Amino acid sequence: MAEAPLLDVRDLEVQFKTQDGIVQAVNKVNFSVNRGETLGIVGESGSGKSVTSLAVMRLIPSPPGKIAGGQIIFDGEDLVDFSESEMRKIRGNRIAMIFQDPMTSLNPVLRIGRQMTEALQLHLNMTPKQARNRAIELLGMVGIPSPDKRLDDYPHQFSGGMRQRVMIAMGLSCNPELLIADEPTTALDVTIQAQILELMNRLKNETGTAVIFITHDLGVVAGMADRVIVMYAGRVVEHASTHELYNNPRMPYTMGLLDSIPRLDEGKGERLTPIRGLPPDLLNLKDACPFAPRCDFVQDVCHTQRPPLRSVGTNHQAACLFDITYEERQTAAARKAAEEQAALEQTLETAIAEEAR
Amino acid sequence: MTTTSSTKVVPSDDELELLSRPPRSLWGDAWRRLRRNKLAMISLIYLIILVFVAIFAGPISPQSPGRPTGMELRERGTFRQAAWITDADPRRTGDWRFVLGTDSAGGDIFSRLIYGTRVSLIVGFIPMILTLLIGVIVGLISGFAGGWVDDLLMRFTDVVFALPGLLFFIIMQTAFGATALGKAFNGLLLLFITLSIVSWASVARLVRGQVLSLKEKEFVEAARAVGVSRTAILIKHILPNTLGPIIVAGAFIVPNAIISEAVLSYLGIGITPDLSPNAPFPTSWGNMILLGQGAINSQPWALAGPAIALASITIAFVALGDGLRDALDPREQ
Amino acid sequence: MTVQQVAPSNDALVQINDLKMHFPVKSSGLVRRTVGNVKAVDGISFDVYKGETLGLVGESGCGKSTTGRAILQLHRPTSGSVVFNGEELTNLSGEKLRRMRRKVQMIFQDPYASLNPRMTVGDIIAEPIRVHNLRSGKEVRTRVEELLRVVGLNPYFINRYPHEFSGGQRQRIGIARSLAVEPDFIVCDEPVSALDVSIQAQIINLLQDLQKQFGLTYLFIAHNLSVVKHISDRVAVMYLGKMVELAPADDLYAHPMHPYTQALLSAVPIPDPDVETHRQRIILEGDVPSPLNPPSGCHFHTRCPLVIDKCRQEEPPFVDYGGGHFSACWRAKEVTPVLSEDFQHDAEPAT
Repeated sequence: MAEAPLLDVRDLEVQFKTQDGIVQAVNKVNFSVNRGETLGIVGESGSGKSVTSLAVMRLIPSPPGKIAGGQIIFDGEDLVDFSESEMRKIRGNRIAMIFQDPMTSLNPVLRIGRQMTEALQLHLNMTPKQARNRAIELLGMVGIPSPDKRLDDYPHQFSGGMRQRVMIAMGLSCNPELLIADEPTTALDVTIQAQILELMNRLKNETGTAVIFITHDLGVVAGMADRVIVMYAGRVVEHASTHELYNNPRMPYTMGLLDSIPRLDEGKGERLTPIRGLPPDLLNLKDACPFAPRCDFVQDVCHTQRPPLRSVGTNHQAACLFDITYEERQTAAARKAAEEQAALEQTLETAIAEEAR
Repeated sequence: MTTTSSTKVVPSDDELELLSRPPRSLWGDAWRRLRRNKLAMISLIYLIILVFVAIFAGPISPQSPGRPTGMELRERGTFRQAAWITDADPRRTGDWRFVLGTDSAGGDIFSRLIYGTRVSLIVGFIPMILTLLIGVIVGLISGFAGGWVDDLLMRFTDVVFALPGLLFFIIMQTAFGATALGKAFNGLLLLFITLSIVSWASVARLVRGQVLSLKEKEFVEAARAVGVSRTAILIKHILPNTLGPIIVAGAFIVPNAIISEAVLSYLGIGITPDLSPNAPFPTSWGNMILLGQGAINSQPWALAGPAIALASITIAFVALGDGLRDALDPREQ
Repeated sequence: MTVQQVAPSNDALVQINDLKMHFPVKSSGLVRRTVGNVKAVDGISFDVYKGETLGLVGESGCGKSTTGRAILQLHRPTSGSVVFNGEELTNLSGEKLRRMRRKVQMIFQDPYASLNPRMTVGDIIAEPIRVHNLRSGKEVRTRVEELLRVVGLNPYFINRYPHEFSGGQRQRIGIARSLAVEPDFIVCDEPVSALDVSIQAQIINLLQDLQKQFGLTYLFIAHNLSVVKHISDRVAVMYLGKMVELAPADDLYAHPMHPYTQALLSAVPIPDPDVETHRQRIILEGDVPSPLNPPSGCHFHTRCPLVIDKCRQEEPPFVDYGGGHFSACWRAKEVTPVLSEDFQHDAEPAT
């Protein structure tokens, strides 16, 4: 890993101006992606995961949004300084992106073939004939039956899963060095999701493309990513190898997230131990731990100091001031659940008693 | 915040923040957005002033708007120039008592302009109310009932929608202009009816579309699941959610009606000028434009006055309508 | 006989028998003729027992939500019967139908669309109370405050509007509304799928607490198998308008008896990289066929890895293979578990 990373994001800040004030959507975010590796970005809505990826593509709608600071170093060059025309040479060519809803990025009135060959002719200077052959090859590669015929179809003639395959084919058409996939399977049914994930894993190995895989689903990342970063309220709160993150999470938010998901392989009768409360309002973020109001291990200092992303193990960083382990959270959560259960029964009894009176 | 039920009523941090703000209804939010729109607010204030002008036209006007006779006519003169112009003829020299001079019959143009506000506003508002009333009722029934009722009402609406507006006005005026109906309130009543007949169809279509989409919303389904009756669903759940677009449509009907009245009066088939001295609706701006046009070279202000008044009221309503649409449109968020 | 009669049970609260919900497809033009039927639900039978949670899973378009709405008579079924507490619901109308709504309620998927934006939280929750005259005068407000507390919301919020709340809080408001009539049976239609993971867990726990507190019976409709497994006592799987499998939750997950269930289970991602990298996946080919023109025989035969000729011609009956494990497959006994050894071990009931 002596080689410089393909993408190095440093202190990235993205702000949006709204009627009520400035929203700090991405707040001093640091991460890097090496060639050929898959980085998972996990977070809930409002965590800034999608905005981060749009910022890398320089696709933040401006106004109201803007990149307020930081660097996005791609292959040694800072994309923040690039002009729009320079970015156009990068987008779709060296960095490609696929979205949750393929319909928003496909033009409904143009045939698939036309949309695919356009990029090939533009970026790779292919002749129309070459581009068409390459497009057929790509559609075949993503598992679309009779690709030469489907090329002349319109987007609405494809099913949701097939459309996402087309998007992946388009994303890979110029052999990008980095592919950003923003919730590519969220809109799909679970059997179709399995098809697409398998396809992405296969293509990743075949092409050696680096992938940023953005999702809210911890299950999906587990099978896709080499490393994972967890985002919360516009910040990176934990960063580790996939194995390490799931087995030894060190940030109470990540732990809470893992405990919030019912698992197919869990025993019966287990009670979920969710994170209490609600995500913070990004409008008036104090310089403190954004997770403090919901944290079971909160101390006074958490409300006054912003915890830095510090190293807590090999290739493992967490933005928590304390060394809290997963077992501690589980014990604490179990105790809390028991207390709540007792409170519930208490309420029940009082209610019954009141009813009786 | 707890994840389970509890008896405590001590609010947590998130709750405190929410409680620190007053409740915000969607109407309140819309009003706040509208207040931020400068052009719409200026228009609104201007229109409110016009409403006062219309109501208190009597005390405000420097002169009576009617046609003078005898001594009064001699004093006013006919075709008197505007106040700032000196004429060789002393009876035509400008006089600040008659700011915009007088017309061919000695009427004070400025006072008549003030009284004209009445006609414009009433011609804007009453047909708007009638139009919305018919349009909303037809649209609600059509969208909510569906089936053959919907088909029948919508085909009828299509027919009305296809009526060529101006031609229909002219036909109505020629057909009924001379009857008692046509003469009622200087022809205003006939005008109201005609204007409402032409414009309700588009409102009905708009409301029907709204109802059709609201009918599929989960909150309507939830109301059904809870056992709310059909009438109550229509009135409590569907109607309040269509009001936004209805208000916007209403704001655009007003300037249309005002313009239509002016055009008809300009063509000489709108309202008939009332010559009696104490008439509440002596004239309209359309009438005044017609008269002013005849003296365009000698007395340009006789045309410019009503023309500016008409243009400004129309622009104000359109700007207010735009502002309302922006304020009420939920897509903005 | 394509559908096996489900044995009537004494403690069945809801009995659904050969329920069909077809939606006519009309041609466009002046005279609208029916040109076909979307068979959203095409003959399903099952019971929901008193006090249990029956999970209903399937992918989009399989008819699971339509089933829920047909049971509640929000869609009037094309044919079949829905018996609630001994009373046939499909021919109820008017006042009787309204009285039934006191006992059978629904929780909706989209917390943003299921609350009238022009009404306050208090009015929303009070509406069912007023409609059924359950309280009068000042007691209505007291009851609404009580309901807010029950779902974990602060009663101070009574005068607030839905748009001031987050998705999870709104879902709590929706739950309070359905509890207002003190129902026995609640159809939960994807109640957590629009929510963020950390909020999902809160709502799942709330639903479980309420069930315990008020002795509720749930029909829990969802596409997320992990959530359904977690909350349900028994799970039913639907595919293209048909029920293909119904079994006690643990049994279904450990020993699926329909290839579609097997594929579904193998497709669910598990948040554990060690499990994920060693799992076998059964990847189904192709897409779900159109419910306008479903395949002959077994609806699943076009994608089934175990397909034989018989499947194309004859529809398999929905039969009990023992222990209340129903399946509609000619080769039900040949379906193998998809979860690894230790996985299965975990899935055995704890304690």
